[in-house]
Amino acid sequence: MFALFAGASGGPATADDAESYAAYIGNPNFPIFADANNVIVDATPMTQESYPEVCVIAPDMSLVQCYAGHGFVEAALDDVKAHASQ
Amino acid sequence: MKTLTPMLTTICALLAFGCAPADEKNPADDGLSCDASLDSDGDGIDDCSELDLGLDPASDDTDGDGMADGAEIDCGSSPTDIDDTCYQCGWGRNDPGNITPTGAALGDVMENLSLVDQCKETIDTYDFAGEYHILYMTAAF
Repeated sequence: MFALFAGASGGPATADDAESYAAYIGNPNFPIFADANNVIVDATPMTQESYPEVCVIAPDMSLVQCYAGHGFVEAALDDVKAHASQ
Repeated sequence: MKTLTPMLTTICALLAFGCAPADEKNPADDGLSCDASLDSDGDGIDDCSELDLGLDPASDDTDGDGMADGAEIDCGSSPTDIDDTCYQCGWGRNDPGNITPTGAALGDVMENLSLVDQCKETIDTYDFAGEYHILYMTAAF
């Protein structure tokens, strides 16, 4: 799942931004959220000090691992594998 | 006689159980007939299953909320509750209803967030429970 903390104009992301971004990346079959009120930062270890940020969420909605910066998607997938095998 | 009574009671109970299993519900027993090979309303649920589920086999949208009964069952919505519908983008409603948030640190169960998605609908993140997810936060610009 994707979440946008800022929209195309640089301001808080809106539903229009989520719709446009989904179309831009080919209308994926996963959600693109607009986090206009920055609620994700309060609910996760994400800081918004750099982006992108990635968090792995387990089936019970617990936070497995989080990363900040580019190039951590593979690491996140490895975290999923490791957590699922526990 | 005192010793026979419990035995007779047990035999009667066993006979009763053998003749009418409690978990073998047949809609015909309720005065309703059905044909499991038919899906009269074309909503993806056969007529007998509709009766078992308390649905109307002659209506593809029992609760009148604009979504077909079969689609609602597939997405985890209630086909008998007009206020419960599938998400427009097709996400399942998988909140088990027993998740308790514990905090925002690694290892904690995060709180249930209400976020707007690309279909411009407010989504509860607990509806994504039951599977692993990678939450990727970025900016649109």
